[in-house]
Amino acid sequence: MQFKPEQYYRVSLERMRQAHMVYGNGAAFSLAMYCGGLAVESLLRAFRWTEDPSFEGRHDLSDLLKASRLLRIDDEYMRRKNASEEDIHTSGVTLRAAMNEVVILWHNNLRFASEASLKAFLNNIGRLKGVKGDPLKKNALDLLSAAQTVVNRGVTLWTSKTKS
Amino acid sequence: MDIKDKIISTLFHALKPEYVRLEDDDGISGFVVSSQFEGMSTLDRQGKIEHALQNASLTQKDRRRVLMIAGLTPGEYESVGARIRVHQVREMTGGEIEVVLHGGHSDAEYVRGTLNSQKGVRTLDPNPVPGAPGVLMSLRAKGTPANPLTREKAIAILKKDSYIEVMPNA
Repeated sequence: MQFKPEQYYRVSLERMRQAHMVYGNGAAFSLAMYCGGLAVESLLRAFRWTEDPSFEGRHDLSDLLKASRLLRIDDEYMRRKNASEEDIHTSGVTLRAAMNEVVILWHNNLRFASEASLKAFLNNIGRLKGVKGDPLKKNALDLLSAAQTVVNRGVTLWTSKTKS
Repeated sequence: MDIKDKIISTLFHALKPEYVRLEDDDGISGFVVSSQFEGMSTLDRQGKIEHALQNASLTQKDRRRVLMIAGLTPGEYESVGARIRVHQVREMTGGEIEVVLHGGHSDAEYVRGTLNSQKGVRTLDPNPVPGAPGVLMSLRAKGTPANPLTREKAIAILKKDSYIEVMPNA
């Protein structure tokens, strides 16, 4: 199936909503995390495909980072809005921190991960240390918050792009 | 020195990382792996990376080419990162070994450094593979007459490095 940028954008919003629903249900944090990361991947694809329909994004770290033109578009958007260099800097660091969090916590193989294997993965990357309460819930919330930050910025940029 | 190499050099100086991998595909992206990021929030990691980049001698235009450099701990990289893939290790005439890898110049330099760290091993500058520039790189290495570098020995050295993956049938 071939998708257009607009479809990737729409599905990114849909996956983000679904991620929150699954998280709220409290029974499948690995699935919630998978959906949250997928929302970001779909959004990046929407922006990347707009510029370069030949881009063959695979679901790996390098390609996810390569597709992060959204971050550059953000700088350009803020400059057009006459934002100060300090605001642009703060916004850039916040957005990149959110993206960094997604890169650490999201992996395409999460779609096959049981809650037990998610826990093992989080343990391997040191994300269980010092967590009070359910560590899966905590990490799922971390990923969803980061994904939401990226998606929110994407919505602003997409809306401004389609208006112009 | 191009922008990517300038950034790699700056990151090495500022963060003393174990490994840096950047790609330039209409914008620079990649990751820097450092123990300094242990127990650090991603906001602080990005702050450190940003601070390092501010000290690099980059023009504003160059600076805008940087898309995203993720900061990872070695443990995170182990779980989510992509290693440098070595596709072929073969014996050439004159006791030389040719290593063909997937990646750019900085990846080839990393592999070269790994081989160079072995006593008596000398390497030549890496080169793009004809017909696949920007995709495959090749480099040659040689041992000494008393301690020659064989294909098996080269593979064993490369396999020991956690940032390199020697592909089956290499």
